[in-house]
Formats: sequence, structure tokens, C-alpha cells
Amino acid sequence: MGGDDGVSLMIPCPHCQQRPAAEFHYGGPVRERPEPDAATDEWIAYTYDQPNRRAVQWEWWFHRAACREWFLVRRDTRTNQVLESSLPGQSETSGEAEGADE
Amino acid sequence: MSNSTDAVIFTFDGRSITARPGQTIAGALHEAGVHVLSRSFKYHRPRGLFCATGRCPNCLCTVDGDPNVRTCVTEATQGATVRSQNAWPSLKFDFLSILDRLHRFMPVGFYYRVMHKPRFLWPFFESIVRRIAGLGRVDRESGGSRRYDRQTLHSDVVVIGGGWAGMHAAIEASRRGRDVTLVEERATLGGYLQDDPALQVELGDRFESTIRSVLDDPRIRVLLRSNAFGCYEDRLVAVQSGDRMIRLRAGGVVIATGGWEQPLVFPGNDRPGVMLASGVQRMMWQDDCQFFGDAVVVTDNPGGYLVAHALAAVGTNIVAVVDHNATPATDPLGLQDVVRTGQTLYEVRGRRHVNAAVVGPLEGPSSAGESIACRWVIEAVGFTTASGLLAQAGCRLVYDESRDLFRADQLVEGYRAAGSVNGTFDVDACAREGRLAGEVAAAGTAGGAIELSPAMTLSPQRRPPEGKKAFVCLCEDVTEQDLFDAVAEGFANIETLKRYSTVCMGPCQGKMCQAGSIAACARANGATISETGRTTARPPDQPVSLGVLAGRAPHRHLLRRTALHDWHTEAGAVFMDSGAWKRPESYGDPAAEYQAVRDGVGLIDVSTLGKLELRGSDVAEFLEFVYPNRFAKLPLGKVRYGVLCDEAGIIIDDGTIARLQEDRWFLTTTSGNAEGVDSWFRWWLATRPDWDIRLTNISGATAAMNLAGPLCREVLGRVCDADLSTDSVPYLAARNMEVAGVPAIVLRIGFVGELGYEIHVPTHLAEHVWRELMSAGAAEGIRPFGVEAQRRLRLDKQHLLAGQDTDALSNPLDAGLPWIVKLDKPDFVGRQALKRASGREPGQQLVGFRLEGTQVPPEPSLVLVDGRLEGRVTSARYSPVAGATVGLAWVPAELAENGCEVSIQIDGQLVKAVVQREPFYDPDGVRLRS
Repeated sequence: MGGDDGVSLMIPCPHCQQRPAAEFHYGGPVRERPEPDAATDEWIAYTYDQPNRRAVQWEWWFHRAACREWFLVRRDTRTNQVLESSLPGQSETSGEAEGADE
Repeated sequence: MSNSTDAVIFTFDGRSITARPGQTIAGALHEAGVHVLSRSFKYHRPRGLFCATGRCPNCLCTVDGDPNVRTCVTEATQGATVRSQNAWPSLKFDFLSILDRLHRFMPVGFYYRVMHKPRFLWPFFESIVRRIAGLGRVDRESGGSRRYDRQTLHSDVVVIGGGWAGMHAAIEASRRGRDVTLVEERATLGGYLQDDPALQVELGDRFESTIRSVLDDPRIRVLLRSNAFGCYEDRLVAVQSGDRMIRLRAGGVVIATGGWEQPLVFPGNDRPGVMLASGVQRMMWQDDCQFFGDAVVVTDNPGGYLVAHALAAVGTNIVAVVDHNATPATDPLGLQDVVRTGQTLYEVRGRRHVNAAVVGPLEGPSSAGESIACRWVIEAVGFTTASGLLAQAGCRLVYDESRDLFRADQLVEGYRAAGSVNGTFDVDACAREGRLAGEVAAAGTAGGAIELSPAMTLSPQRRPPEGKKAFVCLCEDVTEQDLFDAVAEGFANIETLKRYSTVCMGPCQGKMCQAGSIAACARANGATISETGRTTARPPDQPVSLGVLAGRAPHRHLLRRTALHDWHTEAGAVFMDSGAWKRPESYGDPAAEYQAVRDGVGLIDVSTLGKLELRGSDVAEFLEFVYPNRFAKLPLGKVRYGVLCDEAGIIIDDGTIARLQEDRWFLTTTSGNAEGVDSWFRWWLATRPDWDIRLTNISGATAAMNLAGPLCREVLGRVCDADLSTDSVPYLAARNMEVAGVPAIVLRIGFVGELGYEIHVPTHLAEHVWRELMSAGAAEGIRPFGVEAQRRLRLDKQHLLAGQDTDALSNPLDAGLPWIVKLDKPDFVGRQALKRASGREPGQQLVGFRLEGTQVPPEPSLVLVDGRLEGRVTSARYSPVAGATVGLAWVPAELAENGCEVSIQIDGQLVKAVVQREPFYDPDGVRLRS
């Protein structure tokens, strides 16, 4: 359903500009996929453990209700402040979190 | 005020009451001599008007079935039925008022200790508590006709509060070209000034002209009788306006919500007859009420003197003006005989109404108190700020000692504060702050610190109350002693103190009691008010009805129809819901439809399938990566079955992948999963911007139909010029061809186990193609067939339905598709998980089974082995070609071989089933490949 219920945060979609967060699907923080021959423990962590950091991080968002494009958002999870957004491949959007306290 | 000049007559507990047009219910009751309006929550003490401005719980009544209406701010309407609450059998003689005498047995938090030790007592106490808790009763019969609305508005500047500061902010922002929304909770603009004629006189016609400017300004949208109850992220303001919720998105917000007059805490402070000065003023000016008899006014500022004069002028006998200050706060002007300086209220006496006030020196012992007979006790001892919304927005609040209130000192971006909410009470200063706030909000600049206007002098001296019944919280009947006891029990932090004692948790939500509770907590801890702090402010800032939050019911449901819907309807289709889609379950005779496909030819609408087009030179590599089986070398003109897995190796969808040209691919997904697969693919493509791939979701633009049955080649041949021989179009071929003159993609696949063609055409031409096929097949007796027949047909072949036969734990190895997992590929999505799974002992397996007898197990049913639950049936139907009931089930790995026996529970009985791994019909697929 989405659209107008329960969410007030605005997300700056690179194509559609500021739209309410309910129009989007959150895709989790940016992470590096392990090499195919990496250790099992690494694969288990990648598949099942979602990092949950108090930090500024790059994360994936999908504009489900409009342009249906995946893009990246830099957000401070401590204050829920959205700092910037970027198309994939455009800026330095690594999986490293800034100022993380785990 | 209403325009009518006729008197309004309503009933209060059956008694007929006359009101002047525009008068509030409580005002009319006051004039009729009704001074007890309710019974308090816990002790059922008689309560009367106190704040008279809609901020305390004392005047709550049920009006025309609506519970908890604040009658002091609600206009009386003709014929209304007003009932008192929380009293039985009557307001005058309330049975539960004995609780007032039993207060010794009901200290703060007593229910935590008494009512559930031993535990079996709790259900008994719970039933009692449920019956007597709460104030008003919800009328469950009448709710159905209410209509709750939603509205979303956007505004450059939102001003919350239509008082002097708010109006100036709105005018200034509009002057600078911004569009403004002004939210005001009362029915008229002007805020506090409306109740203060002295101030209005001082302002001359500026008062009226400012209101006029706001109302006449085309750029200012004024929302009256509207309550802003929450400030959310990115400046979303939630407003309740009658039965409508308005979501107001603001560029900048000005909070000019003013403040609330605060009560004095002393024994007997909740008696009818004790009132706040601002409430008395409102009743005098807005409701034309008078207060006959003797009155004592307690004050620490000039405001008390002004009220005393105003009352004296209309017939009240002021017997004392009790001033906390050592010298009178202002010129007594004729009241000097009754002024007592350096004194305060010790106690108020009386039960149903005040009959005496005990006053004495501020620092004196209780024995120094002198009793003064009176009927009214009017308090004017200062204001607190209505800063809840500022706190919600994240602005930092500090305790301002000189003003004895909490106010914001650091604002967050996009918010400004102006007027009394800053502790500013001088009218010109309020206007100045309002203009500045409007200017800043219009410019869209950031928050920052607040510049304050100079404070007016106050004496915040209060005498700590002695005695038991000094109420801090009127809503929840929490006394100052209760708070001290709670702190002594260890609930010393303001947050835990609030939750344990329930102070501030009633209808007023702290308007009357937060400052008092913080002061009591500070005193009990020997701390300062700054150190004690405030509880976290959260929405809603005002009580909001659940109906307004919920909006209109029923909610909208998405409904999807295919292009052939009308044709199906005319053909007598019985529809079913498949997700959001309406699909024909059958056309009245699923058995006959089934038979037509087995013996002749049938046609089914499969437009609900997801369809994706992929173009580019890297598509082959992408598909090779995202599917567990091989696609990189799929020849042109071929279609292949594929199963999508996630990184955990779990099946998320199945479908077909066709390579129409070197760089042009056509994919199908299960019905209703187009968006899911589309977003899954898009994410992988987003991680590889270097790939040359363009993905288009053509599900809606493309309709699809499956022509199936041993005679279908002839039928298709009549509307298609292409060579359809099995050499030209073999099983698993994918072709572009014209069908009925329409460009189509034709896939020769066989979900139903017969010779068949899945024909994909543009949606707007679907009906034409369908009709042509139906008439081309007339000679063969072509029948349309629905989902039910399709289910039976595919079950004969043991073709699984992703999502029905598989779930969130199913991987392809266990689901009977081990051949689809090509572990020799260097990398694909889910490879690691599937590699580990293939090395482990297998868990349950998906297998086919045959049942003895004629019962068909419902989907799902339990599979038991030796009385233990060991699996489940996911699909089952009677199969004519197998001559038995057949199905698919998950069974333990050691029983997943032909001939093994399991039991299936049907209607509480166990029925024997035999595992059969080969399809029940045409196991070698001869019919498919014909």
C-alpha cells in the first residue's frame, strides 16, 4: 500500500528528487560480496547477518513506487538524517561506515 | 459565536438546561448552578470547572454519545444530550466515592503490589479494573456512520498557533511571498488575547485589524478548530481537524503555541470552585458568565489583580487578594483593603464546593493559617510553555529560572519559536518575535539559538504543601505525597517516576501537571529543576481519536484485471483472487476443461505472468550469474526453464528464459512476482554499472495465452502462416511470429503436459488474438480453461508451483530439481549455500504421492510417519488419468523413494499414501514433444 501511512522521512531519489520514504524499499547497508572461494564463515555472515550500525553509512534504496531504480543514500543512522544520495558508480560509496560505534 | 438569536436547550443528565447562542456547555451549566461536572478518575472526588480553557479533565462529559468531550470549549447545540461520566448511580451520589475515604489503602502503585499476588487473583481484579477504569464510555453501536478523512497539504511556512505572535509570523512570511498555513486550535484567532479585554483595549484596533489581515490574506490558509499534535521528520506536521487528519509538509515551521496557566498545589486544590484566572476570564468574556459570592484571588503577578478587578466589576465580592510578593505586584486600584502581601494559600475547605480558604504567611507553619469563608478561589500564579512540539522536533529545552518555565534554547533546522512559548509575555515583544520568526521561516534559513526578549519579573516562590490531598495531577488523582512516596520507593528519575505514578499520563498529558511533577520530583531528590529535567516528548501532543489516525475504512485494495476480463465474464467465468489479480478459476466445468486439454485443445489466459525483456551484450553473462543453471550458451531461438535462488540457496521464483536474438532475451516469472524479480534483477545490475544490459518490465504491456492439447497445432496453423512442424518449432523453441496478424513471441513449452504454445502479444491486441484462436478452434471443440483445470493438469506431471509447493526454506536440491544446480559453474547467486547443502544429509524432499481411497486432502495437510509429524502435503487433486488422488508433498529423505509409505491426515483420519517420483501421466514426455 505505502504512499501515505506512518512514515514522514523524505528520501532524495536521484531521478525523482525528495519523496516520502514510504515510496521506497530499503535495501540494507552497502556491503562487499565475498569472493566465490572465500571461507564459509564469511559467506554465512554475508548471507544471514545484517550489520546494524550507529554510524554514517551508505545504503541501498529502491524507488518501488515510481522510477524503480536502485540508488545509494548516505544516512546517519543515529539521527536518521539523510545526507546525500548518489547513482551507483557515481561517487565513492564504500561499505565502510563513518564514525561507527558498534 | 453562532448567528442565531434563539436560546439553545440541551439536557444534562436528564435535566433541561438553557444556553445562550454560542455559549459553551460548561458555561451554560455554570449559569444554571451546576458546579459539579464529573468525578475524578481514581478517588471519584467531585470535580468542577478548573482551567475552563480545555486543558484539564474536570469538565469532560459525554455529548451525544461522544465520550470525553471538553465541555468548557464546546458550544452547546440544540437538543444535545449531555451525560456526566465516571459516576454511578448519579453524579451527586457516586457509589465509588467511598474510594476517596479508602485512599490509605490505595497508595501510588498499589496495584503492582496487591492485585496479582497470588497470581490467581489477577483475573478477578482485572475484571473490576476494566469496569471502573477510564472516564467516558465508547458507544459501540454508533461508530459506523462516522467518516474519517485524510488530507495532505504542502506549505512553504506552517505557523502553529494563531495568537499574537503566530499571526504576526504568518503575515510576515506572506509579505515575503511565501504561502502560509496557520493552525489554530480554537474557533477564532487571537489566542490568549481573546480572553483579556484589558490587553485588547491597550492594543486598540490593532487587535481586530491584525485578525482581519490574516483572514483576508489570500496566501494564508487558516485552519481553525485544528490541533497540531505531532512534529515528525522532515517537517511533517500532523493536524487533527474535526474528523480529518491533515498531513502538513512544511518548508519551515513557526511554533507559536503559547503556554498554559499553571495551578498551585495545596490540599483541597481540586475542589469545585477553585479555578485558574485565565479560565475565569474566558468564561466572563466568551460565555458571559458571572461568579456570584465571595472570592479569594491568589497571585504573584499583576494578572491576578486585573482578574480581581474584572470580577469585582460584574458583581463578585473579592474578600482577599493573596499576593506572594512582599509588596503588591501592581497598583491595587481600590482593592488595597483586601490585599494580603507575603502570603499564600495553605488549604481549601469544602466538599462539593469551596466554602473556605485558609491563607497565611509564605514561610509560616500551618497553625498560622487564617480561614476565610468564600465560594471561589482564583489562582493566577504563572504560566508554563506549550513546548511539546518543539521537543518533538528535537529542539533542546532548558529550564529558565528567571521565568520558571522550560523553553527552547537551541532550535533545529527549519523550526522557529515565537511568543509565549519562549516565555515572552509582553505583547509588543510577542509581535516582534513573531515577525522575526516569519521572516526567518520565509527565507528558509536554519534554526540556531533563540534571542529572547527580557523576562517580566516573577516571584517563583511556592510553599511546599502540607497534608495529603494536594493534587499534582488532576487526571490521574496523583497527589504530591504520592510522588514523594514513589521517589522514596526508588523511582527517583523523572521518567520512571512518571510511569510508576502515572502522573502526566491522563487526558491533559502534562499541561496542568508536568511542571508540578518536576518540582515535586526535584524537591524529593533535593535536586534542582534543571537537574531533574523533563520526560521525553512524543506525539501525540494532544489526545487524538483512533478514528482520525486510522482514516477511512475499508482501505483501498489493488485490483488487477487482464485484457481478456470482459471476455471471461461473458463466457461465464467463475473468478478467483490470485494475489491482486482476478483470474477465471473455471468456466463452470473444470473437469470438462481438463478433459478438453487432454483430448483436444484448450486455451487459458496467462497474462498474469511476469514478463521481462533484457537487451545487451552482457545479458548472457548476467543470466549465467543470477540463475543456478546454464544460460551463457543458450542457442538462439530456444527457451529454458530456470529457478531463481537467493544467496541462501532458497527458491524465490521460477520461470522461462528465451533467447530471441543474440542480445535480446525474453523472460517470464510466476504470476504476481514480476515486480519482485524485476527489483531483484535491478539490484544486481546496479552493482555492475559496467554491464551493457537494459531491463524492461513489459508485464503489463504484454498479454499471454497458452494454447494446449494434442490438436492445438492445427488450430494455431489456421491463424499463423509459419511452419509449425516439430522440426521447425521443436519442444522448447522460442520464435517471433505473426499470430492472427499480430506480432507475437511464441514459446513451445508444456506446463500442462501436452503439446502447447505460449503466445505473447501486445495487451491492446490480446482480445483480437484470443477471439481468432477461439473461432479457429471451433471445429476441434476448443474450450477456454481456467486455473483449476490448469492445476489439475500440471499436477499430473508433478510440475511444482513456486510459492505453493515451495516456501522460504525450500532449495532446488530438495524440491526435486537437483539437475538445475550446476555447482561446476565458478560463481552464481546461492552457489555457496547450495554447495554446502549438497554436502549435507538431505532434509525433507518434495515428492509425488498417490492415495488410496477417494478423499482429497486439503492444501496443506499433515504427513505423519509412525504417528509423528514428518512433512506436509502442498498440492493434491483427483487425477482422471492416474485413476487416483495424487499430489505433491514434503516427506523425510529416507522415505522419498518409489513405493515408500506415509500417512496423510484427512479430517482427523490417517490415510495411506505411496510415494511416486515419476509423473502420473506421460512420464517420458512423449505428448509434450509431439
